[in-house]
Amino acid sequence: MREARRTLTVVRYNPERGMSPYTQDYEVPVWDGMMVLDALNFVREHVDSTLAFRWSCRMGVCGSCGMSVSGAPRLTCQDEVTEYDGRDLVVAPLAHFPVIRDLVVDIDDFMQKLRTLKPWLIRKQEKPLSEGEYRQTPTQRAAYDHHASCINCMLCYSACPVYGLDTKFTGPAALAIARRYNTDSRDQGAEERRPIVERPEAVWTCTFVGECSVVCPKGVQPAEAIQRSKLQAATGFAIRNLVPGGAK
Amino acid sequence: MSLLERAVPPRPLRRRMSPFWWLGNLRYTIFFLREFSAVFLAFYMLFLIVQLALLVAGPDAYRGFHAFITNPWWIALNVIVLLFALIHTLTWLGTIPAVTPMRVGELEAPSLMLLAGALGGFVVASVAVGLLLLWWRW
Repeated sequence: MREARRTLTVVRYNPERGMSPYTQDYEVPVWDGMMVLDALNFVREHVDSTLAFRWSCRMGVCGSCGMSVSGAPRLTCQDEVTEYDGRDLVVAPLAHFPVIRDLVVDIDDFMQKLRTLKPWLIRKQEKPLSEGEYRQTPTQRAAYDHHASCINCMLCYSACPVYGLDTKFTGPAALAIARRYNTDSRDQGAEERRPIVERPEAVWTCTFVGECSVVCPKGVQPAEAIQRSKLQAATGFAIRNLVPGGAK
Repeated sequence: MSLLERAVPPRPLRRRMSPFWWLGNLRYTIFFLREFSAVFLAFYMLFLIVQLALLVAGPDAYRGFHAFITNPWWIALNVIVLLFALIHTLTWLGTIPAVTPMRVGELEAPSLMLLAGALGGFVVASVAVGLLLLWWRW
């Protein structure tokens, strides 16, 4: 039987070659269950060892292999090549991020923003280890569970036209992670995060396109997190400023 | 800084979004229409204010205005405004499941149920306003 093959087009960029990106076509074999990442690895191992891209776990956990595949942000290790039967398979670096080389993008902007949101459990006073863990009921866990699955793959930033137009926007994943901690019953840091979450370039810059939630491979629902944070910010503002004694 | 970083200074490629990004996929286009529809709603609000001002100005002023608003092109413009008002209403109602998910304990109301409730409320309110106007006219 003749081996199935197809063309894989990669948008490449090499700063040592010039500042313009260019496309390069590769012929790759196609096998059952082959993912786009497998095709890229085939190219690097057998055809062109200069092709640069990130990957690690190959099972949708590390979030390293996010790329734009035929125009949509995808985790390439979860994206079957056969889904692109009958149409072009074009792999490009994630949109909206500066490209370092080929398919590798610079996500420092996200990492810096995430750090400002203090993505860890904050306690006003830590209790000693001898008192045991901070316990939580299943209902308390369910309140933030879906926001807790973020793998920092950056697909949501790549799908967000608001971030694409204005990179000052804090962005979907960072705000979803902030919400994850703010709604965790063990956390007491919502007031510390509030000035960052509620500043103009954070939740209020989001115009609710909603595409972040559509492309998220983990069902994190950043759009929901941001809209809920807006509601909470508006309610908090009203209580602080309109209710007697509410500013306390 | 490592030796490698010093040897090859990074020159990252910064890309610009196309002005037509909103045609990139259907959901972007629906979002764009949702936001753009606000222009038509603002226009209609201004139109209502002018109408009220002329009503206050007296029967002669309003008679001229009435002749103006019965022009076919003006009616066509109003049909367009109505279409955008519907787009505005339906697309915003469509966001309800994402903005206000309803959870009771560990159970979460299905998105379709929330959407159906919002649309049902919209239809009931519209019919109630319509009936009120008809009753008032008669």
